[in-house]
Amino acid sequence: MTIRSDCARWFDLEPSEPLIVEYLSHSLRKQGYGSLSDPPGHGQHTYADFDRTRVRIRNGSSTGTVLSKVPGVATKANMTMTIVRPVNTVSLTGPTDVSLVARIAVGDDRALQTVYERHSPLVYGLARRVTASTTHAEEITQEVFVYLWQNPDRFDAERGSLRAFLGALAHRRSVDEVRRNSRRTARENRAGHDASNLDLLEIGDDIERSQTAERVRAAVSCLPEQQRQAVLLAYFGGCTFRQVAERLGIPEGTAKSRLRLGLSKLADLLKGLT
Amino acid sequence: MRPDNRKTNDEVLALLAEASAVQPPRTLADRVVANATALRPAGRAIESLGGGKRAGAAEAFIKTIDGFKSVLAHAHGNEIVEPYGWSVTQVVAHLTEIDCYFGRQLGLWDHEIDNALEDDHLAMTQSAVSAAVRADFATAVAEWLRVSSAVCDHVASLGSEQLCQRIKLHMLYTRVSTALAVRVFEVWTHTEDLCRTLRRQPPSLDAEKLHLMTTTAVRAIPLGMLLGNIDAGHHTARLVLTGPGGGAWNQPLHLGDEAAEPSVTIVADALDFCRLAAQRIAPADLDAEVEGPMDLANTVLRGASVFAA
Repeated sequence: MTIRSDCARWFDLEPSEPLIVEYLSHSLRKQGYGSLSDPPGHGQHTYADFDRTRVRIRNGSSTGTVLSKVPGVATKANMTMTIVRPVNTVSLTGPTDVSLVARIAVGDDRALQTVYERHSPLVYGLARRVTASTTHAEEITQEVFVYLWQNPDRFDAERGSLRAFLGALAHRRSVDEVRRNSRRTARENRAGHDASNLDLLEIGDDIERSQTAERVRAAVSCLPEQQRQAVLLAYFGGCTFRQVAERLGIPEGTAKSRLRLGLSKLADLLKGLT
Repeated sequence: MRPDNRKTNDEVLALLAEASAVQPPRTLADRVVANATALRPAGRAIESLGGGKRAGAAEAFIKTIDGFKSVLAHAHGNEIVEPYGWSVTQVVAHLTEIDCYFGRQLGLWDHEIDNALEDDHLAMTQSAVSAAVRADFATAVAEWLRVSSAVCDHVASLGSEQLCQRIKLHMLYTRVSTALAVRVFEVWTHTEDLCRTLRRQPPSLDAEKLHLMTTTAVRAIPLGMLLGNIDAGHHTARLVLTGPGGGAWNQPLHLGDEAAEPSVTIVADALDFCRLAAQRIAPADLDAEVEGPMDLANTVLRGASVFAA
């Protein structure tokens, strides 16, 4: 009975009440539960005992887990390091984006870290490409992930992937940034946003390229130069149809037509790519 | 999917973004998380950010009692409620006995109990439950309404200082607020049991009340470990409970330990985790994602099944 009382003292213990911990530690030792600083496995039943006696063992063991049978100690030998869904399904690819967003919604900052690791190259790279500025790209990357942290409910998995959602956010913020800058500075003077400089193939010598990125780069390089310029100006330059037309010295209708043809050709070239 | 698997313009544009992917500076990750958590603290669901825990416990208790009352209005008394196989009248008698005891512990009145059974939530009401086999349902309900209303009126009058005072509940010395949170668990569980019997939707559970329950359930894990004679060593488990009322906690598994780097992460639905804590879902039946050793995760879940109702 005494032990229960002591447990309850700890149960609603505030961090500022160390004396109660000490008292409890003393009391637990008297009751034969061992010191709070005793090594794991000192208690009445051990971790391994439970493992032997449980009736239902999940399929976790089928992931290649090797149980160390060291009482109370989870050594590296029994770390699966995979995401395991106890109801007989095992994912080797980590938590899904949908699961991670649900975790972000309840304040799991580690889920945010995982989402960041997974998608920040896309967000940062896109922002850097559109703004032609590493400083702005960093700011936009921060804005995008902080936005997700504060508004996880804005992501709707039925409307598209998280990657597409973050990409769209990054693109919109980047274009806004470019347009803000263009009001301050004469657009013609902005080095790095001339169509002739928008060469996708120049990007990323320092990065590990995915197969998808390689195929997209190859497809873009296959476009006729005029269509390629229109597509790159519109998407990476943040230009409207009118601005594309002005930049290329062509009528607006022609700019629209080149953009449409360019995207259509890319759609053919990228068929089957996910 | 289109027959030729051809991309739409939106899809093409999304793929264009892939072509520009590049690793950001290494330091940016830390800044992003630091900025994010400065604006919205980690660990709590968005809808649970307002309100204090202790004030919430009293309100949650009263709402939970009201919820049970609303469901009880649809019962006749002789329906059988699982998992104990009691009639509704017997469930009401059990609650009446517990509320009488709770009122006694709060200093409201005298009430005779068998001291030898005080630590056993079910055993201490067994004689009242047995006697209720022949009881009139309306009379039993009227008695429970009388007692529970008096308890609720008292709880509603408590200030924050009184909610921090310690009382003894089933031989556990605990704050009044914590005792209320435990009783929220108990009454909520009986309400769900009754709803299953009557095939009715349970009363809506607001996120703040559910967060109180999830917090209580997670913090009780070391207690469950000790009372269940389960030794999980000096590990810390990360519990991420999703959905309304959820949150994220790094919970030491050994009494008195400080939270350390988690050895295992368990992700589960907040409501299901509460059902696990109230022993209405077995650990093996909880749908959860686990990162880390499965056997440790199972041990944690067994320790989490701590509340009797």
